[in-house]
Amino acid sequence: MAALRLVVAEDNLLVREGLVSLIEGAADLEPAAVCSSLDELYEAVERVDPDVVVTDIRMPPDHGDEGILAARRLRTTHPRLGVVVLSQFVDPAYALALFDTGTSGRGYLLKDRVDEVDRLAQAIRTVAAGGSFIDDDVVDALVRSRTRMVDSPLATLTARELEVLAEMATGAANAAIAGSLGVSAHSVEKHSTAIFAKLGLAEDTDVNRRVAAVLLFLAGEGAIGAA
Amino acid sequence: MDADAPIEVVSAERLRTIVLVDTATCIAATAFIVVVHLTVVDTWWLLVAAGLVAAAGALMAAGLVPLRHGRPGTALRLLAVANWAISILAATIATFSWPLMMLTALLPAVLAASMTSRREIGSYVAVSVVVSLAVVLVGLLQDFSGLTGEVPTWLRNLVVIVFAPLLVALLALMVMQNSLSMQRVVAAVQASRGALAEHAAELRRSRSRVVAATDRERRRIERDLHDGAQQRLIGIGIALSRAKQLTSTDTAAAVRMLDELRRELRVAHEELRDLAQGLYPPVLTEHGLEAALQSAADRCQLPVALDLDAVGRHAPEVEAALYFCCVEAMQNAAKHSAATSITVRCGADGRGVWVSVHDDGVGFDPVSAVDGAGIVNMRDRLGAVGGTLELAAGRTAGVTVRGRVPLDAPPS
Repeated sequence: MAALRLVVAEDNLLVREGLVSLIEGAADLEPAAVCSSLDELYEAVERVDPDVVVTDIRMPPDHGDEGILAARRLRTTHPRLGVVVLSQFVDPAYALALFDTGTSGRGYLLKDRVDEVDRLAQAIRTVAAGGSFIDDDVVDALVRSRTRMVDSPLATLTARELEVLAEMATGAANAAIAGSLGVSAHSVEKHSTAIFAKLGLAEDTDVNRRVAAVLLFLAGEGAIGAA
Repeated sequence: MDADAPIEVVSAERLRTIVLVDTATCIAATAFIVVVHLTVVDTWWLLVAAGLVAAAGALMAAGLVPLRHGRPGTALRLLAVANWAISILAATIATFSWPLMMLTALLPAVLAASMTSRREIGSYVAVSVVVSLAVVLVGLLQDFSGLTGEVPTWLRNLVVIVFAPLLVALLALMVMQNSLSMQRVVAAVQASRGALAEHAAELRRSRSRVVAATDRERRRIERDLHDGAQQRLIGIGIALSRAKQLTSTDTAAAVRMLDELRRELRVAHEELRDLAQGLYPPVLTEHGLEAALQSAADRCQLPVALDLDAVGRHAPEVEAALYFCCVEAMQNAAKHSAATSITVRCGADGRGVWVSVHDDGVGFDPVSAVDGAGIVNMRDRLGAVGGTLELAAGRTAGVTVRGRVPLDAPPS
């Protein structure tokens, strides 16, 4: 299998060098270009035609949420390109903004987790394959936030069902959920059916559509497509 | 709205009364002249005079239309022109009436004194003086109509004796009203000057409180950085040196140590992140009040229930005022109330955006707590964007803090 070609966008030199060295450590990943601003990122994507972009959320020119801007624009200009946004924000609003034009090929990873090289590589491989990846800390924050809402339907879920729901929201398939919770795949399916019934959602076996449905539900509003 | 608008409203009302009185006087005078023509002196000059007085009355009455449309200046000019014209014409035709007509010519100047700008008053006074001079001249130096000769002396004397005091009384009344309205204006100016001074004093107080609060906050950040991340980074540096030594002697221990250091680094990062979030959460700038309140609830030490309506986006200073008011109220509840849970609400209605924080704690005595630092902070923050703070607290029922900012509030 050919190595995945990456563009890395990050304005801090130390972090950028660190990211590149982490990526070079993985045999199937190849940094094709590095850049440090939104404009350079667009230019690099045109120039090297990568498989995946790994971008900081905050960059010049405005130091706002350029990474998310880029992910949304690249959805239109390069539909097959995967994007992993590295962010220091646990606030779910950022992740939801990333996913509201669709969940496929998009990943949201907290920056303080990138030193776990396997996580970063897993996120890159997932979005390259058209899947979605959301940091579980962000999903936890999203679930906590939704649980706090007065009259939240999440109050009807059992503790185990909440765990399964959170795993589903990160983009994990049933087998992966079963593995990480240490239960059987059959039991995950049962929980999943119960969750969707309790929340009044149509059950979907397609992981991308399921992530979209769960995120949409957790966000409580707005539109999250499964594109 | 300019500063003297209220005075104009008062004078418009007054002007309307004077126009009506003046018009009524013209109607009465017209009727009187016609009666004299029919009963005492049968000369057509009296009919001409009656016609002119009636025309002057109509001109004055015409001023009621611009007056109703908020143009008192036009009404005043019509009234003045009618008075001046009839003064000269009446003194020309019925020369014996010149003392009355001189008083009539002065009316516009007295009236204008309380209603127009300084420059216009000058014009009114000048025209009135010139017109009264003309009235005296045409009254004393000519009698081309011969009317004065035809009217019997008793009637001439009667007219002047009756109407001169009436006109003087009218002028005196106007001068008195001028003086009264001036006194009212002076009193209003003094009152608003008092209110301004009080407002300025409160601004000075709140400014020094803001400076003090900023300094307090800086000291807290310095302390947090010094006790937290800084110490941790120093520790990591020391441990890194130790790990470097270990690499040559005990590789396994060095690897364990590096893993431990990575965890330490993550904690330092979390501390710095929380500190940065507390300074000014970027999520507030980029995603607004509801998203920021959800994150604030996530950092609160007490369980928080959220009831957040969509409030839309507002000016950054308005969102920040409401947000920090909430955070302060949540911190107060967590620190002082012994509450088991907090409910945070926000919403918007036609009048503005509001937030409320309720705790189920021990409550407090609102009278003694009104000047507590936290509450003054919240009040100052909201006050700076034209908002208000409300406290509902009892000794048992917990505390509810409500902040509201009117939507069209200009920053004061």
